[in-house]
Amino acid sequence: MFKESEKLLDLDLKNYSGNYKDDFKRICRQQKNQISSYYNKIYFNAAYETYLNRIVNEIIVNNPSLINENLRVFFVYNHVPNACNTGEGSIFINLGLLDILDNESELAFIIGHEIAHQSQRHVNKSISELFEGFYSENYQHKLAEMRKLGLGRYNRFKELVKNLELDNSRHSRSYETESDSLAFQYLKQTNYNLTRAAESLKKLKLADTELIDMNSVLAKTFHFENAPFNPKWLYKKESIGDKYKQELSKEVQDSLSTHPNTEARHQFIKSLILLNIQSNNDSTEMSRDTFAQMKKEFNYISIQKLIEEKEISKAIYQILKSQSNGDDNQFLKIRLLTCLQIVYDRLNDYTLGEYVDSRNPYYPKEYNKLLIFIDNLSLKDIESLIENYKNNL
Amino acid sequence: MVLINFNSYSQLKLKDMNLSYSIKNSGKITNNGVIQGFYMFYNIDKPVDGMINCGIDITDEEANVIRNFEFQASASHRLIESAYSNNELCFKFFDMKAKKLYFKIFSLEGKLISDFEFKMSKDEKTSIFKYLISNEEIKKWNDNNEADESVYKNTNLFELPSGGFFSIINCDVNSNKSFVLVKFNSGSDKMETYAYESNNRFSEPEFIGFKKNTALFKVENSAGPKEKITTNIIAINTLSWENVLEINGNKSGKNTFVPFGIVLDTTSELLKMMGTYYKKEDNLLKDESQGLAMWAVNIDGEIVSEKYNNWGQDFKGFLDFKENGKSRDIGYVFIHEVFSIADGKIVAIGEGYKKVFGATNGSRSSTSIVTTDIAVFSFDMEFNFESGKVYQKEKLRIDSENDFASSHKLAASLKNKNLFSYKFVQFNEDRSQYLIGFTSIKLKFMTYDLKFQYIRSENENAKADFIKNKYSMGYFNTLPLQYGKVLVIEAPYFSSKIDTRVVKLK
Repeated sequence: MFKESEKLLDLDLKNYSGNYKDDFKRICRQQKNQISSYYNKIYFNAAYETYLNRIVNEIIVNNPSLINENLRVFFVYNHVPNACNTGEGSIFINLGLLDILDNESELAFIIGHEIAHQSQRHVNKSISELFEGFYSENYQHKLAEMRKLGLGRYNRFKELVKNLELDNSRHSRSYETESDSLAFQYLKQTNYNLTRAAESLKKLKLADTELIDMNSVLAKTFHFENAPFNPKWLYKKESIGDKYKQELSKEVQDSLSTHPNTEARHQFIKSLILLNIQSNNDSTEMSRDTFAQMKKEFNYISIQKLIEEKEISKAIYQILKSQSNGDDNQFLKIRLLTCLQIVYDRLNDYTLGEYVDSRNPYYPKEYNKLLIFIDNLSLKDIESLIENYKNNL
Repeated sequence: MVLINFNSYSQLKLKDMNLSYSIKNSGKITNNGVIQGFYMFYNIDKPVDGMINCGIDITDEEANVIRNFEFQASASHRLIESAYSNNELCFKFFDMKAKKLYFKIFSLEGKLISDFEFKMSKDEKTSIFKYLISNEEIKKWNDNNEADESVYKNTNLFELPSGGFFSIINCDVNSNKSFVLVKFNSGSDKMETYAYESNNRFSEPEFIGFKKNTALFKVENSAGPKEKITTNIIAINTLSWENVLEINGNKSGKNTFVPFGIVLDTTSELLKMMGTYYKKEDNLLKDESQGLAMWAVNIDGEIVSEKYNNWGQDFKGFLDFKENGKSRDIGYVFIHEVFSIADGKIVAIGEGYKKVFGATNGSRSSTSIVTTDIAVFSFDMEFNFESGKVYQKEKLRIDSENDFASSHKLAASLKNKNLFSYKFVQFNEDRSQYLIGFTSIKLKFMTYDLKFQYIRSENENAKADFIKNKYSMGYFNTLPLQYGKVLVIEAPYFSSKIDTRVVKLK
């Protein structure tokens, strides 16, 4: 499957006629590596693949302009709620995306959005804009001036690149809005529920917000009658990280965000919906049961994958989040036990740092609280937690 | 959600610029003795037109970089040392071209707050220059106009408890090789100095600690390089910057006391110091110490109490010391640290050493110093010996620089070059627990095993364990982070790829 993408990228390189072939080659190589890493993470399940392709076909069949788009859509192992288009026809939907979606219409909107990126060649346009920006006469003149400077050229270069990156992220945001608008048009031709579909944007915003009170969840999860929770495990040492971390401007924060500008995008789509009255017809939805099953399974699969990839602190976070949302499944409890055992073993052989993140002032607040908790545990504490948690299963 | 990473493209272009980064200095950021972060000073790129870009990274206690800032400095500025105090960083520079000494103070946000020049006469410039800069560096500067410092030690610039900094500057005072203590605060353009005037030809100071607003120093005096060394203890009031006390290590009349640490005792106003002691007539560089001692001195310079623990008599069979202070088990003991903990008890960390005949292959020496095991001594608040424990490690043989020098002089040289196995001690927040770190190297055929060993004491119990190196024959080093954690730095043999990881100790 990747070979097809590779062929298309090689063709792009062959067809490039500009003056900066070396740099273009570099970009293509980088793109290839990124796409290849996605292909290595494809989640194979015939039934879910069929389900996904039926949604894609529903959109294409009702939008004839998309018929010649050579699209390949896959689910990939990634717990982050996101999806992406890589420019040569591949669309990757993270398993974690279903964690925040509630129905097929929402999923269809996201897929439509990615198809729009592909149909409008946004990736190729981004590359061209990057080149046009970087190799424009104005920019090259600034670079030449900067080289003459000698001292201070490093800072000047950083400033120039930062401005170029911010310009590009502004373009990216306009592409996102364009894709939202197109996705809306694509779905309008189908029988998917547009109001529900638009809710997916609101949920992307929520995905960036932590809705868990970690300290309360920890105190509840690890409190046992014969071994009460020790408040010292939550003790947060004073750190200059909290006091001196650099505050990013709103624009920079947004440019670094996984889902930029979601509030404005959601409002924009809502305004489109108001202009286009549509019935609440859900008859297009393929299978509510399949969606519900996927939503549940994908969460567990993501957690299992995190454990396999040695991302133990992230796995524990996902487990606790699921449990705090009311999921009482035995799978989660057993996985939590597995994670605790790994923490014990790795602390014992001094490799815990390869499995558990260190507290970092730039991490989300509640995630940091979990890291502080793990950091405060001694071997004896972990042993006791494992024993008591096992007995209470 | 489009997949093109512009950030990494700009990183690619940045690489094209072939910028170099070289770390020049680093240090701890502490609050009440607890590590809360670190700072690192580095040069970026090469000098241009006599100027160079310098960068400072501030990290938190997990070694995550949380902030960085840059400034430009003259390429002839050679960074001597640095320190942190009260949300400020101080850097001591020596200008190789102009022969000037500067102190620059930055806030942690990167703002230059103060820029002091230590004014010197022409003669002072010459003498200070000789103390600060080695002959190799002078040659490199003369040949290439490069101010380069490959080895740095932050040993003469300190924070003041009330905020601000002070520094020891070795120089000539009244034609004798002595020192000046300078104190400065940010926000003030005033620099206060105290010059130590001595009748001795040589006076070498060492800062040993604070008792509230009093700074204590040990000063080794001698009439000449091969003459007998005497020890004075001076106390400087950090508010008035005046000498409030000076007593001779022979004051008691019985022994010569050489302090190297302060006992933290918040219940007493006395200045309590711990150290080693010698017979009155002994040569401190040649002769063996008699044991460990503690003096309690009042502000008038009177010795209120003195306690001596003789190697052969007072250590209750621990290490089987002979009268000359040599242990039958581990040789002489070099005391690395003496400190007090929260409950008032006192701990001394020592490492055994002995001079032996025979050196390593290809060496010009016929003798070596072998470092043996780590010994931890525990005392009560009155400095009565309570117990001791030996922690074994691999014996390490180091060729002697001088076959005729005494074991003790050679040991002092090893300490100066950081060749002992002992690395550091860490304390928890309330100083009720401590952790000692040291290395152990086992040489094998064509390879070696490196271990970082540690001893963690919790209440009356002590646990010992080790971390082994990942790559055989590779680079392996451990740096102390906050209590209970170390930064492990490893690299395979002949590789420029470095692995770093924060390790939590059990």
